[in-house]
Amino acid sequence: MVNIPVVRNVLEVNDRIAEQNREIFDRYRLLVINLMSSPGAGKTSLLEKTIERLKDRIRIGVIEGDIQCSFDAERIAQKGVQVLQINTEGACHLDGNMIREALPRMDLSALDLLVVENVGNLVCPAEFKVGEDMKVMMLSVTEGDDKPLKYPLMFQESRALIINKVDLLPYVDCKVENVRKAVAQLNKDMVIFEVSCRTGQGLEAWTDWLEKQVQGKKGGPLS
Amino acid sequence: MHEMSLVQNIIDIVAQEMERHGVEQLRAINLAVGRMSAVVPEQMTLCYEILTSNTPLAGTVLNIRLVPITYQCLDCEKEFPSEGIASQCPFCRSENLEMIFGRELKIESIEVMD
Repeated sequence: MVNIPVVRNVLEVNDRIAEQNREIFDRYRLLVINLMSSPGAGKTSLLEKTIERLKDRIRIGVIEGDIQCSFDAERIAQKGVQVLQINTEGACHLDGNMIREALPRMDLSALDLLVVENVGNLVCPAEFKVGEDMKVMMLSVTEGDDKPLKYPLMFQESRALIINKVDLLPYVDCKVENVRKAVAQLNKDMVIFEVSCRTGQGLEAWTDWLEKQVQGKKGGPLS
Repeated sequence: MHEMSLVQNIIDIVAQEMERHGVEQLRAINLAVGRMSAVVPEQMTLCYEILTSNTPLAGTVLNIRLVPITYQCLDCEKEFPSEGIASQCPFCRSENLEMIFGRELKIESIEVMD
């Protein structure tokens, strides 16, 4: 028996495709965000509110990833922005290739910001790059403050965390302070926003920050 | 949950390597999986069996080596193992840490018949 050394990353094909997507996005100086959370944390609600607040100043597009159906894309389309639905037909995450195949169906030259709303799942999407500039994740207070330490990978990979449904804090056992403590342990550079998409609380800080990121990419050097 | 697509990637990479090295009969694939990667080893081996059944790779083995988590302190530069997420260097108490092992997901080698 002979042992042949290989040493190749299992995700190398996906990483390469994601890198190619990224080059396309960079050419348009388009900021791309990979938005991830558990199902029901409020990703689509956040996008609706974000679009309402920013669409006069920033041209926003959305790629919706869902296992089945196009409910989310229909909600986003109501806001009058470019939206594309990807159905993964069972897959628990979006990957670089799904995004690559979707791109010809979008007009990237008409966008400043593209948000890829990933399949609701706190585990798998963190392993698969799609070509994003940054990952942003959401956690709703109803999920509990133990989630960062139970699902550390996504918290480590993300640039920002949006804690949603803070209007429900009086009714749940989740303590934002505990989430912050756990996040500090996992990813001390993570930017944290406390919001309620239902009441609008805290959304301005998020959209201000996001707008700055979009402008940074617009004016930044081409990588 | 994404083990199936990972295993398909593994099979694709191994097919390329077999061709490159002129390998006719594979015996096993040696895979390194970090404890901090979002992968369930038992599911990987099950998916491998399913995806290779009725193919030339049927009966070959996917060996998985679990890689423990190791941190390096960015201040005192010492390395130390950890069961999970670490927040402080056990030597100098610094919180400036980097996980250097534990996120692996790579094929290390293939074993072939002579």
